[in-house]
Amino acid sequence: MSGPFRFRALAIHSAFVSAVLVSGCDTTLHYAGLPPANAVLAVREVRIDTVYDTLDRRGVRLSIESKWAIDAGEFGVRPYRYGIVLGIPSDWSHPKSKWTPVPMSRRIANAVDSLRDTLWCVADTCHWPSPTVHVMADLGDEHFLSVATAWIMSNGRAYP
Amino acid sequence: MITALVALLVVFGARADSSESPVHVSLIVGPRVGDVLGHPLWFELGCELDVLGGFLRADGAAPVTSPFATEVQMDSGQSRPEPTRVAFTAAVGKTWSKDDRWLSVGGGWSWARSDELKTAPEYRQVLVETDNGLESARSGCSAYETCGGMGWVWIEPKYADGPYFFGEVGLTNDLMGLGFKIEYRFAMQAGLNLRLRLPVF
Repeated sequence: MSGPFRFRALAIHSAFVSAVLVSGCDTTLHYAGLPPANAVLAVREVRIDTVYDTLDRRGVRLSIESKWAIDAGEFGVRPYRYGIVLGIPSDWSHPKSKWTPVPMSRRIANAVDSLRDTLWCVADTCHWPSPTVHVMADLGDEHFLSVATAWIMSNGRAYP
Repeated sequence: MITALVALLVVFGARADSSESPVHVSLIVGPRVGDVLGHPLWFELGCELDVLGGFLRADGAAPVTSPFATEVQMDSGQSRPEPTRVAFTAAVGKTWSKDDRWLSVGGGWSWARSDELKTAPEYRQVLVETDNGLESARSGCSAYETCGGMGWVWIEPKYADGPYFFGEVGLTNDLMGLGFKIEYRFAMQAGLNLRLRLPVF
């Protein structure tokens, strides 16, 4: 076998093996269907005040009202949900705030609508870094794709 | 020109062997070279109905395109949309045969559907709901841990119709035949046909 031929054969073989390996290493997982279009979401009102529970403990009450608009065609294709992400402090010295009720996502009933959420923080000090609200396309298995995000405010911190 | 060709085919077609059954159905399978509406063609499975010794023909085929076409990994619980790829032709033709050899030529019209499989990467945030509420689904990924990407896959229907011409030479016995076919069906195609031809009545 001549040198140039051997070199060429080796190069072609390597290119083929690389192509197979690269295609085999694609870890992208696909969902069936067209990508959901972005929605429009805005935070209308945020209110923070101090409240007392039945045991006379002070707490922080956070009230958020959001308004969204989802394309009507998209809305008919898949279920959508609305949810709040209040964030977890990255600094270990700040305890994770416990919100009541736990801010779980809720099914959206109308393509254009608004919703008010009221949460109460029961920690001594409440932190909510990078607070956001989301309109999400339901991917199933408790996974959601955020198709619209709105900031509630700058990083929050409140002492009752 | 076309009228003359059709007239010739009518004259010759009407002279089909009178002892032969007037209607046959053939099951055809064979490798192909060419493409179907932009998809490389590898193999074709088809069914052909011919009348009066192949004077009138209609066939439906399922072209099998390249096995190296985009392979996509689906998320658990998701099934990949399957693109529809079918081709139909209606044609008039003439067959000349001598002993166990034959030659067919003809033309007509073809229709095809050959869907595109489209993919798009997804870069928006994915959230997961736990007992503590919503959080980013990728929060567990680090520089030392590979997190797979996410994408979408869907089919885009693609239809076409156009003129069809074919020429085929082959060998046959009573039921089985092997032919080499060159045809124009949106593009030039060539292939081998293994044919099982059965009389209908």
